[in-house]
Amino acid sequence: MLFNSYHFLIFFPIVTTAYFLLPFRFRWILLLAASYYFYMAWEPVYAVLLISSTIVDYFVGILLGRTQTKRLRLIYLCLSIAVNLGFLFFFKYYDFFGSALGGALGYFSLPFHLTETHFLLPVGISFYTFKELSYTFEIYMGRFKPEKHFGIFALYVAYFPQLVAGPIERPYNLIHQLKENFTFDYARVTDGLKLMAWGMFKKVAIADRLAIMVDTIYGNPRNHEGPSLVIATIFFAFQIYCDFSGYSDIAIGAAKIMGINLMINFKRPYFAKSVTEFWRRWHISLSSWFRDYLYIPLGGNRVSIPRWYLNILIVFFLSGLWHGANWTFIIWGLLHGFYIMASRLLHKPTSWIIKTIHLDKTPTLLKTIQVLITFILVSFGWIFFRAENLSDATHIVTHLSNGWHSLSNIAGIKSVFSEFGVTKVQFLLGWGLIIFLIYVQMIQRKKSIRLILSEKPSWLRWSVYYALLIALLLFGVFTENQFIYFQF
Amino acid sequence: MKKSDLKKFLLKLAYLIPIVIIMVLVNLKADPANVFGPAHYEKDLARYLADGRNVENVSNYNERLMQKFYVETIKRKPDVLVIGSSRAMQISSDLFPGKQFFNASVSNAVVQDYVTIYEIYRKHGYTPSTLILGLDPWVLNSNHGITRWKELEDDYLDAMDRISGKKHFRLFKRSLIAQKYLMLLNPKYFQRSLRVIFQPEEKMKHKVTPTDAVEGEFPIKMSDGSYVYERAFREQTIDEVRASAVRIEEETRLSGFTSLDKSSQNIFESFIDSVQKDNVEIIFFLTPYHPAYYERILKNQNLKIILDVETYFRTLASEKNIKIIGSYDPSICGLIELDFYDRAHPKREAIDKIFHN
Repeated sequence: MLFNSYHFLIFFPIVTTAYFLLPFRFRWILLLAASYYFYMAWEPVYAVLLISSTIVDYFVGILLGRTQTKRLRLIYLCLSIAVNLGFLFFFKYYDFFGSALGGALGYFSLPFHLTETHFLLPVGISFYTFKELSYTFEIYMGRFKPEKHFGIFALYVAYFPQLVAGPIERPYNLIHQLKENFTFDYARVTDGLKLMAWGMFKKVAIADRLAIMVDTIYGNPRNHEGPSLVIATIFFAFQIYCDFSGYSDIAIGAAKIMGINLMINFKRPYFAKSVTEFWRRWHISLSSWFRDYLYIPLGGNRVSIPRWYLNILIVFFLSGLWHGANWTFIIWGLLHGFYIMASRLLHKPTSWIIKTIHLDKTPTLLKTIQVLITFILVSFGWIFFRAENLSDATHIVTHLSNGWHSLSNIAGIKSVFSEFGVTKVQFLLGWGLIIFLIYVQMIQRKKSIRLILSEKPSWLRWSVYYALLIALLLFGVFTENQFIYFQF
Repeated sequence: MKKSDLKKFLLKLAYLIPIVIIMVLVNLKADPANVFGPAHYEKDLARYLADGRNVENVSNYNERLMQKFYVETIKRKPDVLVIGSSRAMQISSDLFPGKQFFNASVSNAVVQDYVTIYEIYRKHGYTPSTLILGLDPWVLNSNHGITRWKELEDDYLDAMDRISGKKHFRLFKRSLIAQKYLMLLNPKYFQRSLRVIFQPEEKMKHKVTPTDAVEGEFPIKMSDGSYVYERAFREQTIDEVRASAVRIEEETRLSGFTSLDKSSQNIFESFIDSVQKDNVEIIFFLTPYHPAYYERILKNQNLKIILDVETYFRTLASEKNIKIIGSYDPSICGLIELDFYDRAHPKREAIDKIFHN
């Protein structure tokens, strides 16, 4: 079920109303049933996967809690990893690795054939797999006690607002909240609704509108030159941000209405001053997952420099792979790993340059330059993320500098407009919405816009709500487009 | 639950009612697809077509109802009848010179549409000599979510009574009525209604006008039932067409399509048997997809079911001795990117090419 569908528009109010009307002791049953209905609305049969991994992890958790024997604990941990990653590998990576292995062996003229599975990729499998693994890891590390109530644990895995695209919750944040008796609270409910509306605006009015133009250029990159490729890449940077952060906002808002606080997933990522900082602001639930369960166990940065480089590459290679079974995602991940390695290597020379040209005396200018450089680096990475295949990505990268001379006259500028397959007004509307988003994010530097608005008089607040709703109705693209992160 | 909080919440929610009222009123007033008006539009359209006139500005109407009015108006049975979706609407009378021809395709056709439309012709004694069925992959998807065929549910149930020899229970068309009134709150419909209200040329797009033209600024329904797209759509660049072909957007008709739906297969096969009993020659037509989209079909495991559907239709055709024309694979039909309007709709010349191969 998509958040931007009629189905959800009917489903959510019914579930929420029943949630507040039902006696507390029955609520987990309602939420669990609603969550499975939410998941099965897509493809009922894959609920079997969800149930199977839930059962395995529930019993692994219980067994881990009961035994202190190191060897046994390790066996239980491995069992959970094998089951969870086994499902993930089979449904998401089997065909990719089969074809990669076939290609590699074929290079050495060795015969190899693996029958493709042709299975549908279960929606959200990457998300709930990581959520379940975090539960097992936390118990294994002794930081969390196993949940004995099977229903509550199953709800932790399947809780519908964040089941298919996160945020990837941690057991210590979510499970105790699922046991709390929340009452209808006006401030909390309206706050949740506002967050959902803002998320919907980002998805439907900004992301889906930009998607039309991005798809036109990226659908056939070989017919376009530098200016259109650069503009489409900038559009994609904002499309993916609005798409994914929009989904997160709707998920967080929906949970908030029911009294549950999910973790924040985005903190104005395009205002990051370095790529390292970008990863502290972008898809926080995933980057912190990799930090806590992979990077730190590998030794983090408390190791030799070559080993630290290796750790970074491992983490970003796997992060790329998590996003999709395609070389483009792997290169995107590794590119970010190289950015972080390079920033450490170049730290001293850049500090020296900043001091020499006295940029440190004008912190605002320095910050602006850093933010712009980070945005350019991240956007360059998005080329690999968005391109259909490596060949398209290579073509785009090698043609970014071509064709800029066409902008020297009005006819050239007009021809760039026309390449996007939309009217001039729609093209400018895309830019207008991006500027609006940046403006809103600048306002939110210190506190959220909802908080700022709550301090304003009622007439002003409602004028803003009305303006947002009318803008949503006028500029929204209502085609029930999938959220990009559903495919992961 | 605090009652004061709930009361306050409901009161604040009521502040949004004006927006809802504006949406409903605008959609009712403009009603660009004639959802809420009387069926004059469909009757006029059917009358002009039956008189052998082409008709301009036909982008939105109740296609199924129009088919019924058309059959009630005509005086002669067609020799060749085409039933399919918009993907079959480019099949024209030019391909069957000297024969009485009508293309009765309707958008988003499913198995039930084949049964219903054929039944309407049969009831009026207009059983054709040749029936061309434009077969799309989603017709065998139990999750296609298409309910438009229910507009003529009574005719469908009459046909099923006849085919199966059992009386079928008549359901109240509740879901259809609900769908109709949900349009009042449909934001996409609201955007379209606003365009109709503020742009006079948009209004023109929705007024049935007979014409002698064979193509123009607006869509034209030809007197043979085939469809000519509006100029902007026809004249898209190859880039625009390719972009729409590869755009990642959910094809809702194919969502959750992992296996062939047995019940649709049963309906389809019993329908084929009954048509053959009427001594009607059946031809299966498989409309090809845009090469870039077909490439996606081959690579994307969510879409590979389309290949299974084609295999099923080919096997069935061979079992029942039915001629099959075309393929979902454009290369088999000798089509290239230039032959397409978008991911799923080949041009008229491309269809001619397929029939002549």
